Amino acid sequence: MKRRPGVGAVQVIDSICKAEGEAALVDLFARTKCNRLLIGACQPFMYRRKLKNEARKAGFNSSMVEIFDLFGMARRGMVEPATGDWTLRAAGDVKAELEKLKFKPDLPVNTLPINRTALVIGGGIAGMHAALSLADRGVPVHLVEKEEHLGGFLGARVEHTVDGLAPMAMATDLKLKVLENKNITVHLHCEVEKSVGALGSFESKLHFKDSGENTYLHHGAAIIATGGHEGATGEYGYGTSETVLTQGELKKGLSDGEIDAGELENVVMIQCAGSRQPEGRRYCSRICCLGAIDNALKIKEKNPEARVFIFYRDVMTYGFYEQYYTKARSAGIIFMNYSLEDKPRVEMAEGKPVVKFTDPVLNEEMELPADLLVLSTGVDPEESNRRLAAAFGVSLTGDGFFAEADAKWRPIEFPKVGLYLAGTAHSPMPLRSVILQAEAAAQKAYTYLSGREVHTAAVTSMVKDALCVRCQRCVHICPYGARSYNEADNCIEVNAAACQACGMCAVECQNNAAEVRGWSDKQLMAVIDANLMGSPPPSIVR
Amino acid sequence: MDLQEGSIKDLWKDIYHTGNLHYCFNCSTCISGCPASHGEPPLLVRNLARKVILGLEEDLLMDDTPWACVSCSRCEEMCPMNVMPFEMILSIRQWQCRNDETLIPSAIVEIYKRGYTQAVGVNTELRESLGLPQLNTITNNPEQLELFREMLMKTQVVSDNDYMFKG
Repeated sequence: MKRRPGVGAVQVIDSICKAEGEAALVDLFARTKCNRLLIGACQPFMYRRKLKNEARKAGFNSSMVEIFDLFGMARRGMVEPATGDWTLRAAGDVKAELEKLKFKPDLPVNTLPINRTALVIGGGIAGMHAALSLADRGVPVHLVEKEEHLGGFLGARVEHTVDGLAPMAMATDLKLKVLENKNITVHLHCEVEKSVGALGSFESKLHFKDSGENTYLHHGAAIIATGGHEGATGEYGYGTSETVLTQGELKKGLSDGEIDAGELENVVMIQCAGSRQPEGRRYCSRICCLGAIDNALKIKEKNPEARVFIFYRDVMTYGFYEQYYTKARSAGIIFMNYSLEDKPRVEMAEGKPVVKFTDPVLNEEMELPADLLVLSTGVDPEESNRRLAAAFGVSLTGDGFFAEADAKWRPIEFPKVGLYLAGTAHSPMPLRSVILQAEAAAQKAYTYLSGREVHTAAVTSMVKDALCVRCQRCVHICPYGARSYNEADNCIEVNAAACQACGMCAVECQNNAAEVRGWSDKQLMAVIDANLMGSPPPSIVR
Repeated sequence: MDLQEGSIKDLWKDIYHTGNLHYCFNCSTCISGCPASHGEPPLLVRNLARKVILGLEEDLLMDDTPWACVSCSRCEEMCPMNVMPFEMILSIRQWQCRNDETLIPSAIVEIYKRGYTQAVGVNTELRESLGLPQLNTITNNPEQLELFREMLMKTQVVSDNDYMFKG
């Protein structure tokens, strides 16, 4: 290695993941006369940020320090158990990394101050929770609600849940705390129309529906918690009679006394009304089974003589919620399975619904006159999600909910750093999960807001203006909205703070005018050459 | 079938008064191991449970499959919800007899003669060939058999139907 052109010194340090190894490395940082540093280690993603910080303290430009996975890269592609000498492959990798580093330009590190203010969109339980969580940490919060009052869907309609939570009381309590908190500014009856910027410095345009006025808010991070609402349906005779209603309507009727459980003899509930089928909601809303069981138990509690039938396709009382399904069965609630091909049919006779169905156990046609027919219609995403997603440059799922960056590793973040999501804005979920997500999103936002400044990725894309033909393809393809066309100066501009260096623009550009700094064509060609010349044959994959 | 007209809400209380019956979620495990499920007509334990839960009285009264049960108790061992299906089948038999005396089995005469209910006698040769000891049944104790017969005659079901023992 030492003989390769450009290499000043080679040092072997044992276990830099441990304290003594790290000390040796810091010592090396101080002593070395080289200006670029290549570190090959195993699983460096565990401590990459720490090493870069140490290098920065020792006076290195952090873009001149490259840390790569020595062991993993060499082993990748090898047949298990490893055949051949992996060290030869590793040596090849080191050569390639060297070439990349050699041609790497000295990239500037931008340090931007963080605006320690947060924007929370949605004044439901999730939004208020997240806002309070941040405000209690001393972060000024703007809470935006599109309705005229705080509370959200659940907080205004649902008195209790099956697992003993009381959303209405909870919302009232949160509302008081929010209004009392001097760190929180509440903006009612308005929507965010546009948001530009990146982590640390966003600027969002707020449109007030009443006055038609616009306000601009400056904030360092945003949490989207827009929630959802009970879906609508036209199935099973809904809307033709007062005896056909939704679970939400039944729940409200039972809690404010409009529906007397004592008078009910037969109650039929149909799950998945308009859900989990090609037309309508294609997804499972996850909370309707719990809602139906809650209502059924409430009816049984007040009137044990009533018979409650629940028609279901699959009972989704997952995790510890299974206990409520068991409890419902023990209370004598009768569960009837049906399939999408053979849905129950509802006819009206003397103003009362008659449900006709095939019992799958006895395989017999049956009919059941009901006093009440209750439909579980699932959860719909908010209409405003589409506008909001466009305003923030984030994506929605096909069903209209907000899509997280990664279901497993980044479940409450958007791909764009500084934007987080919580609650039913992400997907329908029970209240406990909503609260957990709100708390998680607030904490995640706080990890950035608690810092004073943000070091933007030194690796950003750039425009070679002489080669650029202003076709604006890069502007359209950029998933982070980092590129824009400046009409006044007739050029493409890159917002360094927003750019995440994904390289999409470099791929899209027909003229090689878009380039990611530190990933130039010259570098990559050198890497390929190094890999092909003098390295062991790449025939290890069989 | 009209579940309003043709079903009795609390039939299960009448037949099989245990809370466990309602835990049944129709998994069919009881049927999968049941030797009588191969019979004609088959004994379908799950369907019986369903009929009891739905309260299909007439249907259940006409159903003679509970009598096909061979008392092996496999369903009891396998039921994940501890419904105790075997107990349920016995309960259904009792309920049927309570409601329709023509259903009282003629086997009661056989029980009187033999002294036991299950056909354990058929395995005598097999047991011998395997070197297993002889079964200790009541037939080996004539005195106790006589005592058993006296007790049996005193039960209400026999005294009410004593015509079966004449001749």
